[in-house]
Amino acid sequence: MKVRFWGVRGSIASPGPSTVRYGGNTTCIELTTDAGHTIIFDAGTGIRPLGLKLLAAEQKKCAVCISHTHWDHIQGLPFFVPLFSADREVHFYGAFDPVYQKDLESILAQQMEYCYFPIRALELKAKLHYHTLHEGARIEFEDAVITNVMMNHPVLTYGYRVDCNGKSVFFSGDHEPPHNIYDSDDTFYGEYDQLIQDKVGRICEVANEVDLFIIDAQYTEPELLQKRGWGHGTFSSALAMARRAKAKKVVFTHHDPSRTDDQLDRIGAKLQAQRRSNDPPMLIAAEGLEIDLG
Amino acid sequence: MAVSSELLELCDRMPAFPASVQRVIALTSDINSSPKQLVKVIDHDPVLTIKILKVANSAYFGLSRPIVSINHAVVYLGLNTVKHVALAIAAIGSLPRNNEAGFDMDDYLLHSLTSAVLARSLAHKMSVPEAEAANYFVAGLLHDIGQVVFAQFKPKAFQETLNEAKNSGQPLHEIERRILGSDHAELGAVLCEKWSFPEPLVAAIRMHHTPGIRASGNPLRSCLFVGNLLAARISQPVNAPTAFDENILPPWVFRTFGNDFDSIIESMVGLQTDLKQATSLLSVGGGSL
Repeated sequence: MKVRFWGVRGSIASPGPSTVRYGGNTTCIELTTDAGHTIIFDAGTGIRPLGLKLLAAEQKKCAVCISHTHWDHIQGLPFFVPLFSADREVHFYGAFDPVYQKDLESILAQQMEYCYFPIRALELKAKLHYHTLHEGARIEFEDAVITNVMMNHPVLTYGYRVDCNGKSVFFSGDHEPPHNIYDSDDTFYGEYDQLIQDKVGRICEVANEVDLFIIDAQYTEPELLQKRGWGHGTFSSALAMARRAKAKKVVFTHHDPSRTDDQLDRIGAKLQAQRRSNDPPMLIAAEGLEIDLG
Repeated sequence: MAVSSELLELCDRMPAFPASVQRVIALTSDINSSPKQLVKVIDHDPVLTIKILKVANSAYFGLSRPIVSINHAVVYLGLNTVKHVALAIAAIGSLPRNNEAGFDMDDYLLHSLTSAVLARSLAHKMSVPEAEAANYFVAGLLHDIGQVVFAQFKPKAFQETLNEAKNSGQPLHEIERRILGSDHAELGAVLCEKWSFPEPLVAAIRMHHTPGIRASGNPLRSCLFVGNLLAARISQPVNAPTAFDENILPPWVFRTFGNDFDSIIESMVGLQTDLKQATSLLSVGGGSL
């Protein structure tokens, strides 16, 4: 299985001289299975160039696993050219929205309505299939198996695990380590803490011993203090989860739009310097980064 | 007795209590409000609670174990999702203050909250693990939800039922069966069943007027059954079960919890504080309730 990063930025695309090395496109990650099938994690602006590549490829079918429907994870979809081609087949996977009471198909169609985009979802020519997943669903897609788990973000978000011939990848989508809403002397503090432990334990169980753990690390620790509840993790919290899941390699992604290339270089160097001997190898995601899991 | 499917469908559109709706709107408009304040408003309102548990337990999420507490729903679905579900419920409107049925919402809420605190406290007496005790509070809070459904959607017939109960002194649920075709316990249970709540909770609500054979069969049912009677003893609201002869109760009630109702109540450590805390939202701006 091979993994390639097409978009590594969080929140909003951020092109410019200070982001040119790591890249300014929002989340999109391509997995190529051993048999050559394509599974895509999220459809941020990075999916546009991926679409151009896929259009030239022989493979006519792909899966797009949507972690959640915030803009930076779906905004590239109207520019994903395989959707316009009648000989293509695209399978979308994602959650039902409990607040809007709408499924993925309705929500994705909404961003192609008249005032947002000139072409309606109904006019897309590819064979489109939408699959609403409940948590823990097991999907067989060609030679891979896709499972999911609920993460913690201000909208319902799934993390995905893909297994193929004994190799595995976990993608967190957006995730903030759950925070106890009670003070330590409140009656419900202990109960809530246990619920958090159970939830984190469940995520780590799904991600257990993955070969590649791709996780949201938008903030630094001091930034998180100002941005609690915004739904993102830090480099430290991401590493802690990877350790707990016994991941074999970690990639930090969903970089803050204001994070410069130089800052990411410094953060990367610091992480390497502080790396414990039994820690998995760590990488900071960049557009074009390719990882071959063998 | 059958509960009409039409009545169950209507429950999807059932509004919450006026004071809770106001608080949800106020708290969600204030970016600095604390999440635990919002959770407290939700988990002290039977309608908000049952509807958020409905979402959390819906088939869309395929839970391996059902969610019974609001804290669990918040950790599972995320705070923002619960907040927006609460707002969507608030957007439906409020239960009318002066309803056609003449149903006293203040009494109903006081009885539900008192039963909730007592059921939780009885759970402690039965050495139920702390993590499960929250389920007992929810059972107490929700056990009479069927009465709110009748008041909202069958107001005329429920008014007749309430009047007859008051005048005859007969138990409300027996008159409900005759006039409305089913009673509030059955209606609440069917609603919880439809929304995939755990079986012990459904059974506890369905049987909250009927003692089981032994305490340990379904401890939730046992604690709710006794909690409901004790709540009536404490607050004596109009809609709560009227005088229940302690002598005809099965022996497990007293073997498990104490010699008689008064001594059970006296033996509950911190009960008054807990009751005060649980019902505190009733008095804040009480005029709007």
